[in-house]
Amino acid sequence: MRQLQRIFWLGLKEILSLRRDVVMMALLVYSFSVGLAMEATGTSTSVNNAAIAFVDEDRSALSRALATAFLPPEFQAVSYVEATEVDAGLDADRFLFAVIVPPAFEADLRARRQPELQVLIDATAMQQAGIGASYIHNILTAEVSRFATRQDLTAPAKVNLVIRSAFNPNRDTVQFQGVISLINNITTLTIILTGAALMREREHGTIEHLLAMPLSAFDIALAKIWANGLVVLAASVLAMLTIVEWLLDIEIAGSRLLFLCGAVLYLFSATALGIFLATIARSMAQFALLFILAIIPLQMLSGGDTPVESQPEWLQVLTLSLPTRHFITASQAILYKGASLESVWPEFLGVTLLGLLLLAGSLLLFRRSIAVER
Amino acid sequence: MSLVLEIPPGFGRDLKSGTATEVLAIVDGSMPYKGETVEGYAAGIHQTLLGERDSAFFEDLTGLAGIEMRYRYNPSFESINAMAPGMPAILLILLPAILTAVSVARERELGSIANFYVTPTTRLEFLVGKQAPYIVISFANFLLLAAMTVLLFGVPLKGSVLALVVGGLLYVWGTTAFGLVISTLTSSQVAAVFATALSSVIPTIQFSGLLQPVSTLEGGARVIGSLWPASHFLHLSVGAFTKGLGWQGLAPDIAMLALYGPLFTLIAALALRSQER
Repeated sequence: MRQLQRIFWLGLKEILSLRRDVVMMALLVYSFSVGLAMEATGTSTSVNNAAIAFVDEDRSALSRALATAFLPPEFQAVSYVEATEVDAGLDADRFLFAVIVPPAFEADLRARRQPELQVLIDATAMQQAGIGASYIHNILTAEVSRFATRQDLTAPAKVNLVIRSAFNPNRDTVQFQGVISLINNITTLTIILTGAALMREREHGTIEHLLAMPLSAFDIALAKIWANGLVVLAASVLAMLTIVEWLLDIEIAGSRLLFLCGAVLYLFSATALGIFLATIARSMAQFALLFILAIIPLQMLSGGDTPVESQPEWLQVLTLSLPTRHFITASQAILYKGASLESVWPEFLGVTLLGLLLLAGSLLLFRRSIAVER
Repeated sequence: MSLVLEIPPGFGRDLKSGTATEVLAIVDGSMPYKGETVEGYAAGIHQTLLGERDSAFFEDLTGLAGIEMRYRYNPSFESINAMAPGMPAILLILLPAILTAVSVARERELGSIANFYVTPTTRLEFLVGKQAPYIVISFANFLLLAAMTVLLFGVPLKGSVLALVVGGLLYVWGTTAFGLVISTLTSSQVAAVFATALSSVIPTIQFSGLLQPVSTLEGGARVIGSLWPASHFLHLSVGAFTKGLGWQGLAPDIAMLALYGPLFTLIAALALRSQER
């Protein structure tokens, strides 16, 4: 009981010292409001607003129909260029795709001479190039088929493929990106807030005051975890209600309470990671470097930027050690698919176990690393 | 499970008798990028099958016109060729900026910056002196990363080596100077770490063109993406490695990168002057 009290007061001290730090508070507010909204609405993983160059060497009715078949929001209106300008334009990233219609394309088509359209793709823009290429292929195929059917060159296809999207039917990327951005913010802020709070005490020597008092390393760590976790939790709940649900209008299929439970577990894990990094580091500069080394895989390999399934198998196994991967999987299942605890408990368990592991590791190293400094 | 195919009853019979029929594909759209890719593959396989089967049933474009898809710069469309040259752009802004920022903020927090105030050292000399070692370290890192990209990841350097090296030097000059700006605006090391991380992680990973080209971003993300140093270095690095560009193609990026170092150093010097007491 006394221990709980101690942890409570220590944590309160943590919150009070944070409240006085204007820069930190400003950054906290910024990243959960403007930063979050900008990231969610500005980026898009599917083809969006892509520039296409169109080389029309045929100048027929068909080639004009092809050029006007590319519509926003996926594509910008095509820009007509000469064949000689294509290479320079792709080099300079002025456009990502170029469609080339050869001379006498329409006439050759009518005469069944099998003319060829050419599509050039800037294959250095991975995400957009792959999806964009299949869009362009489909658009061109549909346009040419329509022309051919009208001219009685061919009969319509006998088997149609009807594609439906389960969950997020419009493939609205804001729906997806909004939640990912929120999780990214939670990760970044929690690790920095907790880790830096511990680091600062160590650099100023105030941690030795704490250690001289009848407090265990466990008390100190737990106080930092609950205090910083609570601050970020409050900020995330506010951001979830105002930015994610209201401003970005993201539909939530599942239970908010279950998501909140997941977020609490994740915050525990992330604060534990922050403490762990601050325990290994000897100075703020080292902590900062460790933070960068941790945040890059956490953000890029956890399934928020690219699907985990497309990683090589050995890496998929390794990413199981990232708490973010479990939390992203669970959040998507809860928020988009309305999953219940029955289907997300393995992820919840994973997040919790990783947090406990990190906390145990930090406690083990804590006194020792302080001793080394003296 | 990412894709469910539903073939209606009597599909084969309809096919033989020439009646139009449908196949239903249900795609998991909760991650849009994955959904789009799966859908694209499904549609592609559908098209190919239509073309392969007996054309009495499956007539379509095949035999009328072809569409040749050419993946430029990276014909096998392997992501390593696009991603490996992009990684130095991320590392060489986050690490140098945060290190430089902490190095100045540390002096301020511990009070040793007073030494500088009482000596005849000018602000610019102090800042450049703090920055110089980090430029050297970061440039060495750049050379190491470039070597790793070629030797370890097997991405050939097809374009101008010299332009890449010049761009790399200008880039680390700019990113360390960005660290100086942050350090002059914050008073504690925590705030310096926090401000550098928050202001640079998201623009670098999300807005710099690593995941999607800057030209397809929208709103604030587009503005930040076009001004952010990482976008230009990423473009230069991918251009030099995978696109095989020479001086001429890389010149616009080099010109942009050359601006950041002097600009950020100037801002930092002005900000430091105003804080002197």
